[in-house]
Amino acid sequence: MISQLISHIWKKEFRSPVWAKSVLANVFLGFAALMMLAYALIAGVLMDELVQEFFPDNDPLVFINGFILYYFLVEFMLRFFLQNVPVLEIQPYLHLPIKKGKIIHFMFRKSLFSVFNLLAILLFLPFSILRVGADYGILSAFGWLASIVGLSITLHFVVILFKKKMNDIPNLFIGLIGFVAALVALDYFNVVSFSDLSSAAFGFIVEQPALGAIPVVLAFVFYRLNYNFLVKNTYPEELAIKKEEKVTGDFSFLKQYGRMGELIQLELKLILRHKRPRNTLIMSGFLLLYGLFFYTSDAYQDMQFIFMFAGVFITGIFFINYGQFLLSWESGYFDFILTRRVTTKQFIESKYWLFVATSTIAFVVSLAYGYFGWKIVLINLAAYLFNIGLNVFAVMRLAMFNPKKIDLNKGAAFNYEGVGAAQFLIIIPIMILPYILYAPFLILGYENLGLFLTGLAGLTGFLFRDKMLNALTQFFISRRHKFAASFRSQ
Amino acid sequence: MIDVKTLSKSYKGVEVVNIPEMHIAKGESYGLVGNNGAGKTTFFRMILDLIRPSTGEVLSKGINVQSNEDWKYYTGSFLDESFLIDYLTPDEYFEFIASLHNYSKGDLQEFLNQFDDLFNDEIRGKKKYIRDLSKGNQKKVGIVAALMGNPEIILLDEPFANLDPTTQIRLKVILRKLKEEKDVTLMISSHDLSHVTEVCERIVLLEKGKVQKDIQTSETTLKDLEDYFTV
Repeated sequence: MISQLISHIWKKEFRSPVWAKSVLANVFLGFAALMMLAYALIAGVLMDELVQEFFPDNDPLVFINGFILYYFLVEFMLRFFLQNVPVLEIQPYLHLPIKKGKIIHFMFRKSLFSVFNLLAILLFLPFSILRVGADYGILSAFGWLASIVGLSITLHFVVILFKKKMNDIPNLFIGLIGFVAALVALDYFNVVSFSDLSSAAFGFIVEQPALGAIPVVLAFVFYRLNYNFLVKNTYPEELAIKKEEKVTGDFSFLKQYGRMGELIQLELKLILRHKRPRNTLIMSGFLLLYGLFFYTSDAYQDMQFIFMFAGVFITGIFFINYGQFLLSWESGYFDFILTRRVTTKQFIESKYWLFVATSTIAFVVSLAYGYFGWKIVLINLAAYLFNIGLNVFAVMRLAMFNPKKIDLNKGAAFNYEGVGAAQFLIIIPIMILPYILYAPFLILGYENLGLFLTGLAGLTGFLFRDKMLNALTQFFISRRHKFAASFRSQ
Repeated sequence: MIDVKTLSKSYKGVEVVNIPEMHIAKGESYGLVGNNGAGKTTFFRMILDLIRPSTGEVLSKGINVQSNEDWKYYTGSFLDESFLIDYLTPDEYFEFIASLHNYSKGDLQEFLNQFDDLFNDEIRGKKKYIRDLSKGNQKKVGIVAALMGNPEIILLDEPFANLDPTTQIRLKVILRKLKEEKDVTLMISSHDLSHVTEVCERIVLLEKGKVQKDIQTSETTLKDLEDYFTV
């Protein structure tokens, strides 16, 4: 029975269309995960020495103990956003003659095999042996580690329960944010020091290792709570993430721009109503701050050439991020686009103007970087012009290189659907194209001329946008059947 | 209206559609029947320029559908969910398509009011995305959207499937009215032999991509078709 369930899970993973479609992306993802775990292990092994190196006045154990509560706060947030809630997997088994409890136990136990649960072990196991064990004996080390792993597993089940409860109590999330903010504020204004609290609590466990059992018991309690909740609520419609009742986004002001406005309005709704494209938008907002990383660092003041990259990135991040999947976003209704009363040119042009608009907004916001000097504004202006005149076309053209289907109704985290060669080639417009004119003049000492020419090249492209759009349209038309076929096949 | 010339489509050497010649006259109502895999949808997709034919061409008003996009302006179609934008509400979807046809707000209202019975108060004014509608209601949205903009030719794939009996009958009435009052060319594929013989004056039977029968509907057509499919 259990072995069959395991084989089902195995098959589910390996037969999923995403897996079959992009082996490359999976290899990459697996590699990245291994690297992360390796880093965690290395950090765990070196933790003791690092503390001694950088904080020689502190006792490493007291120092690490003081930091554990913060670690769990971060882990909770990470889990909250990234950890899957596996409840729906039981759906196909509900009508079969298998005891519900058995299936639910299986599912929860299976869910324990997650990267997040490994993380705490990799980070703290070496330290528990090398420091706690060496100084306080094996029993203390065991109790200390048990308390940490116990807390981690407790969090695992808290998050599952929490996410399910969120369906019924919509304000729970806001409550959580408020709670965390309050905690951080209390700590920040020194009302309560979590560092001291954490240090005291875990220090106490080192002295009384038996207390390490408390978090472990807590983990079992939350396991049981989850189990009881699920046993009573096995109806798929109750388990599924609740549908939003409200309809978001009103962009009727765009109607005045005619057909183009209508198409842009449609695209904006697409972006706001689906997690994954919405994340690209939010990301773009955050990455506006990317400049702070470069402009404030002394190390980069001598490497001003890198500011061009920052400028391209800041003013163009939305179309770089979103535009690389240009057609894939709409793969679900691609046949509609091909048969409806929209010319291909209008379709492509509407995307172009959306990207120009977002770049313009980003550029206007980036004017604030003028605080770091006029030079940065000039560089960003050149980068902005280059983006809207040339780079945007390069990204759109690259995106038409073998686009793949994206199912918008799937989640955003670790979703590599639609990733193909274009996502690796996208580096060209970001890293190479802007430097073709800029770099030679910079090296010869005529930086301003290089900036001017880069901006001018962009401006020229912008003025001749119609030609560029026509070329893209022609390419689209010649490939339309191929696109449609690849989007149609599952 | 539609002319098909030496049209064929093969996938990896297997021919799924092969129609040497076919003419569909303006105002004709044309029913396509055949078992699963007979090539009905592939044929429709080639008419809508969604699939590139292996050989031959489809002419719409004498112009190859591959050569330009003029046919879009007088062709309404609904084949499957990929014709719906499922993250819009039905109202938003209708508004979007209305804007493509330059309808005013009043035009759209007037147009949609005709379908109040069909919608059965489950589609308009609801705060629900299309993806959350039932299959039947999704189909209603798609079909009504296909009728927008006074199309001269309408292509529907399995329009009766997933609909409740009342709606099936209402849809039949709507389609007949379109044909009689507006001289619309109607192309329907269906597994439901009785519906399709009732609505269509010409029935084409496809099997393994080839035309097996091409007949004008008469009193015996339904019987003939049932006999054909009874194996």
